[in-house]
Amino acid sequence: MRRSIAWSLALAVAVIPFQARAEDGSSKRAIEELRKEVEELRQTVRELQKALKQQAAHATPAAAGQTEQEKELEAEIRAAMPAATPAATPAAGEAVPASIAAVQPAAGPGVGKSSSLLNPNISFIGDFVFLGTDNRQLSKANQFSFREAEVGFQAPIDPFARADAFLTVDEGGNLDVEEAYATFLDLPGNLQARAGKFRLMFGKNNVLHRHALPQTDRPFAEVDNFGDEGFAGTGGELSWLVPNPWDQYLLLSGEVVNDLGEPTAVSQGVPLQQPPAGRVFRDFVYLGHAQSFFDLNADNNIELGASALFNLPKSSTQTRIYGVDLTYRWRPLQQAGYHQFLWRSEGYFTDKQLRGTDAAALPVTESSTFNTAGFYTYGEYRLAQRWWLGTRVDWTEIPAERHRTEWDTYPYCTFAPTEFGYFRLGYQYAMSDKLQKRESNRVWLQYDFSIGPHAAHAF
Amino acid sequence: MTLRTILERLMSIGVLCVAVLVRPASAAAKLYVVTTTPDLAAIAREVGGDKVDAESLALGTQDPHFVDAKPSFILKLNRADLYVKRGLELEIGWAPVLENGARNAAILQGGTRYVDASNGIAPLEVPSETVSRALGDVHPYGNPHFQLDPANAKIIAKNIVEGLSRVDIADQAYFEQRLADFDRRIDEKLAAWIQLLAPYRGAKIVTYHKSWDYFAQRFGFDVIGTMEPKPGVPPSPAHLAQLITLMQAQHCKLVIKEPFYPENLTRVVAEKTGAQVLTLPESPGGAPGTDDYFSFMDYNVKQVAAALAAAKG
Repeated sequence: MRRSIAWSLALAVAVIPFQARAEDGSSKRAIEELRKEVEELRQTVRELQKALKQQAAHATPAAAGQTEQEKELEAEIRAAMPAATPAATPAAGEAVPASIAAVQPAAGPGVGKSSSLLNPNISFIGDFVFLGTDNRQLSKANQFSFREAEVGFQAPIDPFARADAFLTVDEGGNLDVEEAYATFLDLPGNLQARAGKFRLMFGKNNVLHRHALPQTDRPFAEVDNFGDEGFAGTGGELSWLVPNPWDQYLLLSGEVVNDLGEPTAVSQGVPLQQPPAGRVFRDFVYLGHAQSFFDLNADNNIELGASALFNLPKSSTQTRIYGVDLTYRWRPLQQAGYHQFLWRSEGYFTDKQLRGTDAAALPVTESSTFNTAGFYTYGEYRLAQRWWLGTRVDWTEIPAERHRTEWDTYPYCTFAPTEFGYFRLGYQYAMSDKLQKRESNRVWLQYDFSIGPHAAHAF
Repeated sequence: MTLRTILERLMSIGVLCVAVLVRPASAAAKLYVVTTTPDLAAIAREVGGDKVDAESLALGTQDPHFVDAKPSFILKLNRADLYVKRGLELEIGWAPVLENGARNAAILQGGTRYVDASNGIAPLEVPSETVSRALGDVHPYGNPHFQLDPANAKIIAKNIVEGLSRVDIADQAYFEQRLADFDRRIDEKLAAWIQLLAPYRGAKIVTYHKSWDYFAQRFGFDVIGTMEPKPGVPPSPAHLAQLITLMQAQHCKLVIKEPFYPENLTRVVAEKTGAQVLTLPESPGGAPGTDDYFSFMDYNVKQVAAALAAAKG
């Protein structure tokens, strides 16, 4: 025991000087570094003191003359009466306009914030297009156009209804209400109702706003039936989610709107009727729509729809438009953000019974029954997260002009850096009996963007 | 087909519809719980036991930000006795269309059959500056991937039990007893998971999206970067070059991505840095054998532990 203690002491005596020498060098360096750090900190403190002095010099004389106790007291009083203290006290003799004084918000946590939280979701969507073409008869040929700015307001009205309104302004500054309607979300018997101005549930494309279209323009088959921007009308809608033993999605909708509207009436080549002061049921336009959806499996699904629109004027042309639509989607769940495919087709059938002066104006060789048909079909493949490739084929008889047709083929490519904006480049080869020069090559360049929380469109 | 036949068929369809409308309550003996994401459905099954039938709209292999708002989902929400959302605007791109079309006002926000699973969660990354899309696809109320912290699973479970008890007051005691049991099991497992990952506390990791921040906070990892330069923005070469340099400088040896993100770019990053890439589910069902919450977290914790052990060893 004694021997081991002696050995330990001897070892300690031998080691300590070496350690001390080693530590001596490192501690000197450490002290030097600490000295530098202290000097830097001193410099920082000096600069801060200088800045504080400058601030004090710029402070109001009254504040500068206050003691710490007074400052604390003032802070306490301010905290105790936040609502009574305006943000900026007007100078003596300066009148406070009554309106501003009245709307001064009360200070305090949550005030102001809560009112802004109740604001509707507001969004803005811009749609820029360049059309390059060898056919100068086309409107907006070889020029840039700001086709549309859309402002959307969307919010629940109360626990039972919500409101959606979309205003559009075109390049000429014309303001239009594209849609403005209230939806009553949960009526008895699986019913839902809409009232206001809305895009009619005719097929798939008609309900889409311009910025949500899969191609830069609407297909001929749709435009020649409903006009450049589709069919929107003022009226009401009742839709029924049909319960069924097969647990399949089946939605039946019935809509009634005032009239065909000018774009649709012009497209159909019928005069827009001015109804009598007291409307009867014959003076409205009616639409019935059925939509079904089938999940083939987790990655594949099919959607089928049928629409019928008609009016019943007593003495002028009766217009009936029927439509069928079919959509197939392949969206592999795990890769849906990178690869997916959609194929959609829509057919339009018009049946007009010419009456009254419209029929009288017909040549004797022409029938007073006028039927036309048209369709579009397109396929779109998402080949990467930001890239889509698609092609549309479109053919239609023109409802307003007998024995005339329009058709096109239209490959396009869309690049969407994010879900809030996209670029689209498309080439359209079109033949139209509406134009003197029937053939046209059209190159479309489009950029659309949205800001704000514009809600997702229907599936 | 005669007019009479058509009328007879239409009448039979009508009778069927009425029969479905007035189907007896016994058909709905179990509460039908519809959730937006599988983690919520898994937790609803834990606390609801044999009193609930829980179903998720999104699958575990699916990106919960981008789910197709299929009409068939409207049908599910129409029949839902309870609707549970992850919240913090995770589902803002797809759920509102379904909710508004469901004709079931009780499942709308504020309704008796509506549950926001994020209630009571302390969200990470709530933006302190003005939020704009310049920050990417940022969530203004904070990061919605809180289910990856097991402690938050207890809060989710409590929210679901509150919802279940509102709908089925008679079974409140049953749900609360199951909640207490769930909490106890989470506490036990959490202690074990923390112990398993304790040797790797402070490890630096990279994730594809900002989905793993709650997980990292709970288990003490340092997320030094993400493959996405900003949330929802695909990786750019310039950003990845910077990320690789950062990973090399900080000796980061693990990249975590979800099954729905592409592999090619993570592979490039891994090759340049020598890091291992783990494909981990964000929600139960995202990998084989992860159908309930415990097996899901078990899988993730064990995979991370194994990867970090390999990097260390």
